[in-house]
Amino acid sequence: MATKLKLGHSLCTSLLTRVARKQLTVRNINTTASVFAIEARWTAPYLRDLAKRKKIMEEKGLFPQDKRSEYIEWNYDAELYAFGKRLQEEFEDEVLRAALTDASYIRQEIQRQQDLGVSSPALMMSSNEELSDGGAKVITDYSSKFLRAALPLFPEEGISAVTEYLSSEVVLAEVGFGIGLRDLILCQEHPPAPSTAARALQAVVGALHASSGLARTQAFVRDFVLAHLSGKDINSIWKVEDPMKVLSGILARSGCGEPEPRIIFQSGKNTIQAVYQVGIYTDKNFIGSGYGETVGEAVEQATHDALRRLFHTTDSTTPLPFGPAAADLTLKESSNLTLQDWSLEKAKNVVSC
Amino acid sequence: MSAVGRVQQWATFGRMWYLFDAKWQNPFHSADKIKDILTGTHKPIYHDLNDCGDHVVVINSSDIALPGVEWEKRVYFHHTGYAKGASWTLAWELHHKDPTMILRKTVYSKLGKNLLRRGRMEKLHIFPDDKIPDSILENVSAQLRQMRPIPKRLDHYTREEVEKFPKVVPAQINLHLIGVPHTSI
Repeated sequence: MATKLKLGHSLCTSLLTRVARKQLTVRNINTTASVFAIEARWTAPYLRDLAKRKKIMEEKGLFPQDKRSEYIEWNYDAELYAFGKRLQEEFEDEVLRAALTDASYIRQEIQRQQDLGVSSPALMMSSNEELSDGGAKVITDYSSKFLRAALPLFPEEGISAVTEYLSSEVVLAEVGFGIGLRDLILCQEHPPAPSTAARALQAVVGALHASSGLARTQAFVRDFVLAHLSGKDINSIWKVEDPMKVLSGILARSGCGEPEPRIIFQSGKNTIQAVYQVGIYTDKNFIGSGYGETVGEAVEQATHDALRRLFHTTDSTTPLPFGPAAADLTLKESSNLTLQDWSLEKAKNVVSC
Repeated sequence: MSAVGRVQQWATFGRMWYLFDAKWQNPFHSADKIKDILTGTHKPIYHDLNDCGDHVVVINSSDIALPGVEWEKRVYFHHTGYAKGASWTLAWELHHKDPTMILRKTVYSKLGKNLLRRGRMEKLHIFPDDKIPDSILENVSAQLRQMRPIPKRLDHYTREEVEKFPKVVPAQINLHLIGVPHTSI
C-alpha cells in the first residue's frame, strides 16, 4: 500500500471512525454486541450520510481527486518506460517526455520559478505542440486511407465525416485516458481536461512516428483510434441530408427510373401504436425498406436503407478489418466517389477488397 | 440509439391485429390459439414482464360449433352474491342471450390468472356476425387460419353439381334428399 502524504476528506473521517471504534473496544466490556461484532444503531446511518456527502462533493467537483504523482514512491521515469512497454512500442525517452508535457505545465513552472525569485528561469523542457500537430496529421491521413480501402463504395463525404469524428477531441480523449495518460500528462489542471488529453494522445502518435517509423505508427492508430469504430453504426456518424433527393440523383445517373415508395405492411392504423413498413422500388425492383410510426417516417427510413444497400454499409456488411486481417489491406490514396458522382455504373468499376 | 434502431424497436414491439373467422369453429380449441396471440407467447421477444400481446378480432361468433352434446350439457354458473342468487345457464341458453359470451368466457378461463388478464381481454374484439366497424377493420393486418375446414352441406351445392355427381346406386324417385327439390332427380 502506498503511503499518502495528503489526507483526503474521506480518509480523515474513516480514520476518525476507526479510532473511535478502537476506544470503544479498549474499555474491555464484553457485551453481547461487541462479541458478535454488532455495530451501534447510529453506525449505518452515519456511514450512509458520509457517503451521501462524498457523492455531493464529487458532483460539485469539490472532492479532492487522487493524483498519483503525489504519492511518495512515484517514479516518473519508470512510469514512462513502463508506458511504452505496456503498449509494446519503442519510444525514444526524450520524445515521449516531450509528448506528455503540455504547454500549460511549462508556463506554470516558469511562473513558479519567477515567484521564487529566479530572474531568468531555465527549463530544459519542450512542449508537445509540434508533436501533436504531426500526430494529428498521421491520424487523419491513415484513417481516411484505411476507411476508403475498407469501405470502397462509401461516399467521400462520409469518409471525411468519420475521419473528423475519429480525430475529434471526445474520441481522442477517451482513447488517451484508456491507455493511461491521465497520470502521465504533465499539465496545469488535474485531472487533465479532455482537450489536453486529446492533444497528448496526438503527440504520443507523433512521438511514435519519430521513434519507430510510419508503419508502426499506422498500426498503433488502427489498433487504438480506428478500433473505436468497432461496434458503432457508421451511418449514425454520417447521415445523408435529404436522402430522397440523393437517391433520385443516383438512380437518374445510373439510368434507372424514379424511386417509388410503396406501403408493404401496416398494422393498427387507427391506434397510437401504428406501424408502417414501406418499400422503395425502381422499375419495379425492390431496393430497400424501412419502418416508421407514420408513412412519412417509414419512407425516409426506407430511403436511408436503400442508400445503405448501395453503399454496402448495412448491418450485415463485413466488419472493418482489424488485427491480422488489416495487414492484407491495401491503403487507398485516391478519394472515393462523391455523392454528386455516385452511380451504379461507376460503382461497378470500384475494386473492393 | 440510432434512427434505424429506433424504428426497428418500434416495429418489433408494434401490435399486430389478427382477424379470426369463428364460423363452424370449436370455441374451446380456438381459444387455445387466441390465448397465445393475446399473451404474445408466439413471439421470440416474449417474456413474463413484457407486454407484447397482439389484438384478435373474432367475427361470426354466433356460428361457433360446440362438439358433441355440449350445447345441452355444458352449464355456466353465476351467483349474484345474494342468498338464493345462484343460477345455472345452459350453453344454448347463454348463446341465445349473447352470441359472443361463450367464446369470451372460454378465452378468459384459458388466460393466466394474473393482473394482465383483464388487459389481455381488452385486446380481444368479438363480433357476432361479419359486420365490423371500419375503425377496427382498418387496423387489421393479418388473418388467423381456421382450426378446421367449414363443412359444405348438400344445399350449398348447385343443382348441376348434384346431378353430375357420380352415383353408385341410382337415386329412387321417392327418396327425400335434404335441400334438393323432389322433382329434380
